[in-house]
Amino acid sequence: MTLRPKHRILFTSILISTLLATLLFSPNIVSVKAATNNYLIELPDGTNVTAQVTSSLSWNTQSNNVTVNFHLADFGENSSYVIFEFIKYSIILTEENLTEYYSLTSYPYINASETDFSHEVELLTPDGADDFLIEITVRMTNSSRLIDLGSEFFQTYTILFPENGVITVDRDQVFPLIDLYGFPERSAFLSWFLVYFLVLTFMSSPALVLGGKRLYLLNKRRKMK
Amino acid sequence: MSSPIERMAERLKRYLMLFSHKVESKDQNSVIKITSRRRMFPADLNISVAETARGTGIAISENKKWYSLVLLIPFILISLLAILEFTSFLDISHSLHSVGKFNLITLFLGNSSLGWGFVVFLMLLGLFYALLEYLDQKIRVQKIRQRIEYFLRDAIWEPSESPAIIDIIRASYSVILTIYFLAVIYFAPMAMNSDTLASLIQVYGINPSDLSDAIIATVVVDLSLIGGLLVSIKTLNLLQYKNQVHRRIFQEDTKLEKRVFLLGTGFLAGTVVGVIGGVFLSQLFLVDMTITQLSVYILLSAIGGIAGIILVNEEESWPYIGIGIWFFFSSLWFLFRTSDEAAYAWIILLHLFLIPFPIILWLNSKLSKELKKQQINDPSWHFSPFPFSLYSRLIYEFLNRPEKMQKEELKRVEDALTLEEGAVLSQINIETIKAKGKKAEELAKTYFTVIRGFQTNYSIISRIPSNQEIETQANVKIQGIDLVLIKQYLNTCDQLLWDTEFKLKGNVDELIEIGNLLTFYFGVEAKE
Repeated sequence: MTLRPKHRILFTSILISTLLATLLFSPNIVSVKAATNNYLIELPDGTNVTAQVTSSLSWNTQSNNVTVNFHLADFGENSSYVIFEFIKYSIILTEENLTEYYSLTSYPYINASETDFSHEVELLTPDGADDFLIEITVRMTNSSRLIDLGSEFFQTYTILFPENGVITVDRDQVFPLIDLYGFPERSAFLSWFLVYFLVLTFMSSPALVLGGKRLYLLNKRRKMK
Repeated sequence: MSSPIERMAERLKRYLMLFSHKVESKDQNSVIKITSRRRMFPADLNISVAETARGTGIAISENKKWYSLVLLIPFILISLLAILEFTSFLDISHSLHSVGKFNLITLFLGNSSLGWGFVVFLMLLGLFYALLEYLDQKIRVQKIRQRIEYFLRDAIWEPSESPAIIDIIRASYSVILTIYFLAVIYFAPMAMNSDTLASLIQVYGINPSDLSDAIIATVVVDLSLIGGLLVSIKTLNLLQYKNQVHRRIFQEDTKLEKRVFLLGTGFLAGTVVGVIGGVFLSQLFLVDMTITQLSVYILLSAIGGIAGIILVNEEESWPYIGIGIWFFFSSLWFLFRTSDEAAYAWIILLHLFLIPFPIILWLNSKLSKELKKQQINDPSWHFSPFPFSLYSRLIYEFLNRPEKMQKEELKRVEDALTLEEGAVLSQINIETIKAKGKKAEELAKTYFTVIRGFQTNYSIISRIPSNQEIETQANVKIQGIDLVLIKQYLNTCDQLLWDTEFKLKGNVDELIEIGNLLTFYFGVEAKE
């Protein structure tokens, strides 16, 4: 099938405008698949803490939020506080840990009156990975009083998020071109590019008009023949 | 056969054709009205030839004097934006301050100091161009008026056009608009709102003022060179167009001769566009321009003008390739500057994206070659984002479409075949042609259309061209057409019309096709 010149121009313009529309609107179409997983952590004296991890399962290329909520389920003997030392977030690719992020400076705690402690962190999406897991390492201990404790009292517990499957990175097929090294931030650059494109289109308007006119005359001649 | 005023009208038509005008005439009772139209620019002349007590009278008047005011439109648009901003009319300007991620006022006006002075400056600049356009028209008409006496007395005379300096300044009009829109692209980051600008330059770790300085330095170099190149190309095209029209003045193509004159023209054109463009930009985007920068701008424009002439003399497309190469290699040069000033990293990106820009400029000359086939030669629309003269011409063409003209012409021929009993046509027995078949009738119709469309030698009273004339004119107009076939067509038609015994044989369809082709080329212009 061969396209007529007139239709070819129409086809090309439709193609270009579709491409541009994709460029402009694709940052907004990021599908949100949030997941919440519950974990039960048992401390040595029988205190039970549930950890609830919430995050999206398809991350964008910049950064994403991970929320961990610790809830005191029930106390064991002789303890009225659960004290946290730190929380470490590790992004696990297939073999090696790529990024690690430590948090908590003062020692937060939960007790019978304040049964919930939640921590939210913004993690950067790893470069060059399509899917990964998050390992959340939390060090905590149970205590009867709220005192400064040595590091040796705390015990390490590890949670792997998500329980089933992996977190995938939602990468656009078009954007690797613009996300090259040395290019500015995408949305700012696109807004400049919009001006660039509109101005150049306007400047080539006489040529566009003439192109149509030329085709019109050529068609006339063909008909005459 | 023809009255004195008819003969005078024919002579006048021939005279105006020497000034590259397209002529139409309308017979009224005792007056013949001639409309004379320049090929491109809608500079129309109305000419009346009438019988008076003292002999034949001729009156020439201009048409469409308002046209030159159209050139004010871009300046009016910019001024309107400025007036909206500084009078805060209806609070529209507030909404213009954040359209998407841009401040439209800063995008199109830069950080100029807005006020009535600014508007007056823009209007004066626009009026300068409008006045020049009017002057150009006026001078041309004046020259037509002056030389008509010499022509009618068969004295020695030469057609003449307005001076070259007017062409240079007319050429600078569209170049300055092009520069303006390029400057909008260059300064677009500075019109972004502060968050967007911050995220744009956070990669480079610079301040907005660094970016502004880098952009200004680049604009001074880039836009001056581009302006100089473009204005010299356009001036050269305009001069060359005049040479084509008036071969008698220049005798030879300026592309080959008078190089020094042309280099001088390029220098002058570059300087003119440098001065006007530099002052124009210093009112809009380059408000903090120093005198040094302004002189560098003008100097580089002049150099660009000379370079444009040299490049065009080598090859038509070299200036465009030159601009592309300049964008590429200057970005390589900036690559080394980024170690000192990180702002040039953005300039590299800008230059790389502007490499395809010369294609848009090149489209102008590419398409003007196509337009030449349609006999629209005037390059005054080149590089202009607002090519009013071209649009008006196209609208005129649209209103006088070939198909419409053709239908009218065919109808007239049919009428002539059936009804008219003129001196020439009465000799043909239509019934005999009809008896020879439908194809014979069709062939005869094309023949009459072709004859009517022909520009005959007007000093000869007869309106029917000889076969020789048809052959030579067809060869000039349709290059590459087979002359043998045209001869065959003409001979067949002649025999068909005058010889009652003649019968069509051979490839009749091919002949009808040739007839249609000739009808297309010559029948279109028939407006008598």
